[in-house]
Amino acid sequence: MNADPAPLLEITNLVKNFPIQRGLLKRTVGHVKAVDGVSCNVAAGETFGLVGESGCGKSTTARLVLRLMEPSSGTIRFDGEDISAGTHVDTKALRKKLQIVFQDPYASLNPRMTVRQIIAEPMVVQGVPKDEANARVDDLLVTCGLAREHGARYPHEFSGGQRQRVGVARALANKPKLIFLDEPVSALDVSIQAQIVNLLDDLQDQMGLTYVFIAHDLSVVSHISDRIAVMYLGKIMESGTKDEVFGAPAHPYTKALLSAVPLPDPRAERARKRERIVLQGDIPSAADVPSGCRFRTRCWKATELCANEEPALIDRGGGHPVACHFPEQ
Amino acid sequence: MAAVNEPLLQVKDLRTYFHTEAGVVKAVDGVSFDVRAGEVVGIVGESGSGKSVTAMTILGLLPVPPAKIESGQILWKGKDLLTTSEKDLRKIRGGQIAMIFQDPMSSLNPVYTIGNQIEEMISTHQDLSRSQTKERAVEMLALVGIPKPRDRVNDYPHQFSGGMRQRAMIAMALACEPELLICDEPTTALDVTVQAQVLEVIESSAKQLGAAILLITHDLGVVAGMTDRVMVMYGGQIVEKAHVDDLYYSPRMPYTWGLLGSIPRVDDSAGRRLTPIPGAPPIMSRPPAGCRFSPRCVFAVPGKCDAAVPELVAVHDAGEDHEARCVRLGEPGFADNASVFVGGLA
Repeated sequence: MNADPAPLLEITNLVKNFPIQRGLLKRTVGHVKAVDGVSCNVAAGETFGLVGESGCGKSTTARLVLRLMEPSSGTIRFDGEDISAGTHVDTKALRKKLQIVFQDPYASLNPRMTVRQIIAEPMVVQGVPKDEANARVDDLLVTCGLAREHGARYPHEFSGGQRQRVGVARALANKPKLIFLDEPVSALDVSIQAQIVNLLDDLQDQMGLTYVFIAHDLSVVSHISDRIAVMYLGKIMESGTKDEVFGAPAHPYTKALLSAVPLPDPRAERARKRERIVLQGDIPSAADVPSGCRFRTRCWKATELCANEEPALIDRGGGHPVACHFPEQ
Repeated sequence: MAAVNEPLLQVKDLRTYFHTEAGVVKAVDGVSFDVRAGEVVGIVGESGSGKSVTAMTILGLLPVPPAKIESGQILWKGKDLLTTSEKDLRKIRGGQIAMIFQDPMSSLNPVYTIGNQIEEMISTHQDLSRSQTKERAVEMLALVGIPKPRDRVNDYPHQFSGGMRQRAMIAMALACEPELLICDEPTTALDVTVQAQVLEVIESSAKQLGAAILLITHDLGVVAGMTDRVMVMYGGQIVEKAHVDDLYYSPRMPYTWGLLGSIPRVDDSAGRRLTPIPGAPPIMSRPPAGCRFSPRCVFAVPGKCDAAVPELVAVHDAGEDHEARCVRLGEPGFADNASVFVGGLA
C-alpha cells in the first residue's frame, strides 16, 4: 500500500517529547518520549487501526496530527498540505477536514448545550448559515440512529451509547475527509459497542470516510480495520494489512498481544492456554526507554544485538514492515 | 465441616433493593446459585445487571440503607450469612471468603506498605508470631510472582505498577487460604498482556490452595477460558445458567445470543458483521413489565413476554444443569433462532 501515489495522511518521523521539570527553577531533567519517531501512511477510504497498550502513544499521535498538541518534530502531510511540526497551520481549515471522536462520551459533550447545539457548533465555527446547519443537524441525527426530537435534549438525558452517537454526528458535521476514532467504544457495554461499530461501518460505506481507529481492544480493531499498526512505547513495531499483522504476526510483541486476548470460545481457549505467551514484567517508563530495541526487556528472543542496535521498521522478508532483528517466520 | 456434596456457597432467592429518591432500584431480584468446593463459576453481565451487587451482598459489604436485603438466604457451608452477627461475619470475610476488586489502586491503603497490608490480613485471621506473619507475606508475594518479594514487601502501593498492585491484592486475598475467592472484574483496569499475567496468577494460585472462584466480569473471553459454569445476568436476574461449553455452543436465551453476537473476534478474518442487541439496558428503578429483556428482544411476543416475569427453568433438551429464563423456551425449534446472532460461532 506504500506504493499508493498520494496517501491522504502521511506521517514521517513524528516525535513528541514532554519535558520533565523539577525544582524551583523548573529545570528540565529529562523527557517523556510519548511519540518517538512514528511513520505511517493512511490511504483515502481505508480504516487504519492503531493498537497498543496504555501509554504507547497512540492517542498522542492523534492529538499531534489534529494539532491539539504541537509536535516536537516530524513531518505530516494531510490531503496534499504540509502540516508538519513548526509550520504555521490554519487549524480552523484543517479541522474542517480532520475530525476526532473521543473515548469518553460523558466528558466530551458540553453538559450545558443541547444536542442540537453540540452537533451544530463545528458548522457555526466554519460559518455555515444557520438554517443550513439546522437542516444538516436533522439529517445527522437520523443518520447516526437518533431521532430528530433528540436535538432539543441535553447530554445527561442520554445513555452512553446514544452520547457516542452524538459525538459521531458532531465529527461528521462538516463532512470531514478523515476521522480519528480514539477508543470510541471502550467505555461502552458489549451490546452497545456492537451498535456503534456497525454504525461506523455503515457511515464509512455511505460517505466514503477514512478512519484512523485507535484502540487497545485487539478484537474491535481487527474487526473494523483494513490495515493495522502495532505501537509499543512510542514507536510502531509492525504494520501491514490486517491479514499480515494479525494473520501472520512477525514481531514477538504482536504475537504476545494476540496470544493474550481471550477468545469467547471455551474449547479454543483451553487449547490456546497451553501455548499462551505470557509476557513477563510491565511496560517500561517512556521517560526511560530501554537501549536498542525498546521491547527487549520483555522479549523472550532478546540478544545482545537487541540491546545495542535499534531495529528499523522495514520489510524483513515477511512482506510487511517489522521492527525486529529476529522476526517470526 | 460441610458434607462432601453440599455446596460451599448457596445463594437462594436473593433480593437486594436500593431505596433511593428516584424509587426502589431492584438491583438483585431473585438470584439463586451454588458454588461447590474448588470450582470456578462465572457471572457475566453488562453494567447495571446486578453482578457486583450480588458479590457485595454475599460479603455483607453494602451500606444499609440505602441497600436493603428484602429476602433470600446466603448459606455458607449451611450457615446463613444474612443472619450471622457482624463479629462472626468478620471471621468468615477475609478468612474463608476473600475478594479481589476491580481497581487495585483504590483498594490498597497508600500510607501502609504492601507488606503491612498483607500482614494485617494474616494477623486478623491467623494466630502466628510476628516473624511468621512477615514470612508468610513474603511467601504470598512470591506465590503471585512478584520479583524479589523480600525487598518489595517493604514498598508502598505507589511503587508498584498496576499489574503488580493487582497481584498484591491477590496475595492479600489468598493469604489466609480462603475456600472461596470472589473476583469482581479483576482485570478490567489492566492492559491485555498484564491481564493475561494476572488471570494466570489467579487461576494457578487458587488451584494450588484449592480455593473455589466466583468470577464476575463483563468479558466473555475471560469467562470462556477460566470457568466451569457460567451465569448470565440481566436486569438483576439470572437469565441463563449452564456449563461453560453449553452456554457458548448452545445458548438458549435470546439475551445470551445477542451478547455472543455483539463481540468481535480477533481470529475472525472474514469480518463477519456484528449483530448487536437493539436498544439499551433497562433503568432498574423502572424495570419493564414481564421479561426484563422483552423490550430489546427481537423474538418477544406482545401479550406473552411482557405479561409476567418468566421463571428460570431447566432446559430439558440441553446439557446437564442448563437453565434459562424465557417463555418461548419450550417452543419447538425456538433454539434454532440463535443462528440469527451466533451463526458463525459454534
